[in-house]
Amino acid sequence: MNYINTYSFIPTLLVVLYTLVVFSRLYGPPKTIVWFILLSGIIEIISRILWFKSANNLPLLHVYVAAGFVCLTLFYEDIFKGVIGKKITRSILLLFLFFTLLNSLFIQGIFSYNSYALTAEAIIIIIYSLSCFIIMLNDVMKKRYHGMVFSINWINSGIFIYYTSSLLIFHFGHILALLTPSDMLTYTWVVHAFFSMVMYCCFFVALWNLPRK
Amino acid sequence: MEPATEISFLNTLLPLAAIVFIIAIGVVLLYQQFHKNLYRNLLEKEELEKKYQHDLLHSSIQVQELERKRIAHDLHDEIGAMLTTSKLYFNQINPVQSEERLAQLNSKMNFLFDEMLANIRRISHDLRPVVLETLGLKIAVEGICENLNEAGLSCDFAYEVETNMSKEAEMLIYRILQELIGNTIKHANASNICIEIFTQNNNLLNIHYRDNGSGFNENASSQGLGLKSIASRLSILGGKMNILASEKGASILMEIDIRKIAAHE
Repeated sequence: MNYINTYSFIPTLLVVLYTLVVFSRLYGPPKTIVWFILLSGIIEIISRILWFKSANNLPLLHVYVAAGFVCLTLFYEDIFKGVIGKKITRSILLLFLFFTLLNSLFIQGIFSYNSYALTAEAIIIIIYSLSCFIIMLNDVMKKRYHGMVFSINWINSGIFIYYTSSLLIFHFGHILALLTPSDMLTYTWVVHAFFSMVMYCCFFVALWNLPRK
Repeated sequence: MEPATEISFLNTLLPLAAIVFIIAIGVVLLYQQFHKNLYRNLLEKEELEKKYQHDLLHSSIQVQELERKRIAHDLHDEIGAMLTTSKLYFNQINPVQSEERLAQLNSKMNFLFDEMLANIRRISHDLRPVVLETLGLKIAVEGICENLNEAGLSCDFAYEVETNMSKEAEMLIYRILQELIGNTIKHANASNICIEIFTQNNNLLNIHYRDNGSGFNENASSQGLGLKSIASRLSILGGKMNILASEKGASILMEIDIRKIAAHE
């Protein structure tokens, strides 16, 4: 089972490489998600380096949560353009960034696990993701993203699967720790790594099926 | 088993219920926002559509009035003037006039009647071109091109359409081309006009009009009226007009669904 945890970075890096290959051919919302994929790749590499050097890589998670949220907000903002006000998404983004900064500096600290920020991020992203599923059923949106609906749905599915599972794992992790032996916690991380791989596989399918510009 | 006693409704199910509730509220609010904006966008689109239709109607009435004014002007200034002169000559015809004077009056009146007939023919041709009625669009546009070439403005014309068009459609297309040519002559200062009429995939009639003049000046009101009149005629045919980017001059591509203009056998 630990193999999943150890090698979970491989699908991420493969998707990053594929994204770099097809980058110039991408357009629309799927192009916006590229920044999230690239960010994940960079964070993955740095965190592996820190892990090999036995350094604390938790501050990196704080950066990843904030930067990842910015990228995902931009992705959904691109999809919701014209139908859900930019003011709403930008206000949520600013509030979240303020909260995560406050959390990293004063509440949970930069060297500890930022579960509060992760939970808040997951809640907002799940709201965006579910709204995206509903909105994409509308004929006006299908017409607007003609030829791109399939890819957008795959990306959105990946995000939804990952953040829903993350929310449950991160928020109820401590309950599992109370209920189960300590080595069970490792398995929660294995499950998390598995869902992360699922998300990147969904991204790959989306980018692979995207019509060329 | 000691830690298990710390698990309670407050720290397990309540946070989960709260999270699910927040997500549900968030989704509902975003969906409401989406619906509101979508409805507003649709209303705006409808409003624009109405305004566009109103503009088209207004411009078509304007064009009609201009045409009436032109015909009135032709009748009054040309036919009317000639009839007045003819009447004067006619009043001079009496037995006291010399034979030489009568021959002179006869010759002048003949000339005036010939001129009047030619003018009536021209006005009638402008109203409903006989060539178009009898020989069709291709020959009629070729005729326009020949006239332009004779006047020193080079005109190239290509026609590749196998479908028989209805007379009404031919007339509208002919008027559109007349309007475009008129615009080129009046405003563009061009030396070459190129007209291509062809079908695409057997379902779309393409009319590509190009000139090498000064291009479109959107501020010129008369040119704007001309374009609106073209748009108005195209809307009757269910077609659409695209002004294409061109290095020099104007380039317009009009696309019409061939099923809407085909002659019913």
